[in-house]
Amino acid sequence: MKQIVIACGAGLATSSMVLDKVESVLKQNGIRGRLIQCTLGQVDGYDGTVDLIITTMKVRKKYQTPCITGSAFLTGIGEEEVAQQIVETLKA
Amino acid sequence: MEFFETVSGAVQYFVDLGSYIFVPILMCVIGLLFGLKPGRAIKAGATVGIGLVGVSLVATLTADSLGPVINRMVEVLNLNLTAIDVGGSPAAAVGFSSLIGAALIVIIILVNIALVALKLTNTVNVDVYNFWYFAITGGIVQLVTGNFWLGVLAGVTHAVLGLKIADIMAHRTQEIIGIPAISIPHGFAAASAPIFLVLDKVYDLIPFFAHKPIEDDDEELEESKGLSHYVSLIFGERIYLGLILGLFFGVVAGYDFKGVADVTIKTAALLELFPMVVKMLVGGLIPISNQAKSFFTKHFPDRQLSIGLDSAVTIGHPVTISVGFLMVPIFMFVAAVLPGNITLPLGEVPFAAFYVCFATIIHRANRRRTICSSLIFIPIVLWISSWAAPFFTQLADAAGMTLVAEGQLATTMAFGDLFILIPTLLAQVPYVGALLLVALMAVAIALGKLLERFYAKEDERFEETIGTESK
Repeated sequence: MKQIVIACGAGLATSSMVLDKVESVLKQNGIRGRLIQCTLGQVDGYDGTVDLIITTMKVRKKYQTPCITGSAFLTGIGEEEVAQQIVETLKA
Repeated sequence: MEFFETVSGAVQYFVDLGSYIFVPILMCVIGLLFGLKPGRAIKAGATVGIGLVGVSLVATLTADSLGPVINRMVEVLNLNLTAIDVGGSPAAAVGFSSLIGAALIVIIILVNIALVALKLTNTVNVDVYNFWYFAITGGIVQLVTGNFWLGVLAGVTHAVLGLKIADIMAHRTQEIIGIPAISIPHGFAAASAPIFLVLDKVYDLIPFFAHKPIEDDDEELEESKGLSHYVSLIFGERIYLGLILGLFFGVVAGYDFKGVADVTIKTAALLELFPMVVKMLVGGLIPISNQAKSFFTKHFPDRQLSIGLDSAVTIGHPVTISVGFLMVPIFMFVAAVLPGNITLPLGEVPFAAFYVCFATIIHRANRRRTICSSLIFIPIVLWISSWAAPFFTQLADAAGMTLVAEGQLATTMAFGDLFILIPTLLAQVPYVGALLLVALMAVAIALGKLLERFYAKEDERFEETIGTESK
């Protein structure tokens, strides 16, 4: 079971949209995962203890856990590349 | 005549069923209209309804538990803060709990399609959840004028102003935030832009605010561990902030240990539970938003359109984060001393960064400019949200959500929004209200074209001399 944190500014609207897409990416690739939705400020608390962090915005802070920008799921541009990146990170 | 009476009677019966009954039905119909399969449309509608039920359940918590203690605290401190900031999430629920809110979802998407087709905008606003801002503008106008269609027009005006700001600042937003092909037509963030755009021009004249290029070896931009780390750990977590505020309310009100403990946990509960139940509402709107997005990409394949997103995507910028934290205590202090303010900051306090995010973009991450603009912006936010308080309290009551105790008003700092205030004032002008709203939209579209060109040139010059950002 992979643990994935999905964060946005308020932990509400945009992270819900990304969560919706990530859920289907996991399902298509047969990955079992637990998705945790939170605010950007709460990410620190999960850093180092989860398998992947996906943010809806570009974040400059360095995390120990691999971090992917999921904004492509909001704009619809480059969705496939990001989906592939997620799958590769989780399967590595 | 008889026909109209029958129709309006039927509409009245439908609305009187209660928001958590008629809104899900409407959302389901809207879903079908946008091409969702029946199963998904029913689920989307029901999810929105469940969110609304959740909000009205949590609302009793504020009304019954927090209302009295806040009354007492304000009395002890001799403050004039009679309007509680309940936060943006219950305001969203109130916005969508009306006929006008549901109507605006369809109408604004149609207007957006028309404007794109006529090449009057390049932004497609698919952030349907944040349409609640437009619904509130429409709701307030309907309330004060008694005219449903004037309310719709005011809501559309708010949305169009947002699209134009998004267009003007699209390039700079993409550069500073680092996401291609986006813009921010968000009902609040975009409305904060005009003030920041004017201030930016003033700062250009003052040497203290001059832009300086960022050197590669600048260490201070990196997150420094230490004090700021702990500040962000506490302020970044809604639960901690809720506990601290609740403790403060209870102690100041002079409650005994049991009373203080009760208020402490319930304030934290309030800050955490509202967003949690509103998440359902968001979930129900996602399918509609996805359908709209695919419509635009399918029908305008050769246009370079910007996808309009929630300002939440801009919150990751380090300047926005640090200035946002700085504003948390300042919001509290200014609210206490500002003449004419009746808003008690509470529900929106954890989201202070949202009040700063567009300043960061417009000022190109120049920290001095962003701080100064935020300080100037705070009183404006508080005044406008105080003005909106009596209207919002009535809208919430009409939606069956009692958010505050008897004699108190409900508001939220998220109403500190010029694009709610200005259309409402214009709509109230007798006879020509509708005309003035249309004129405002026309001016915004015409001026928008000019400003787009102006800022494109300015950005080009800036990127040649200083770079994307300054410090």
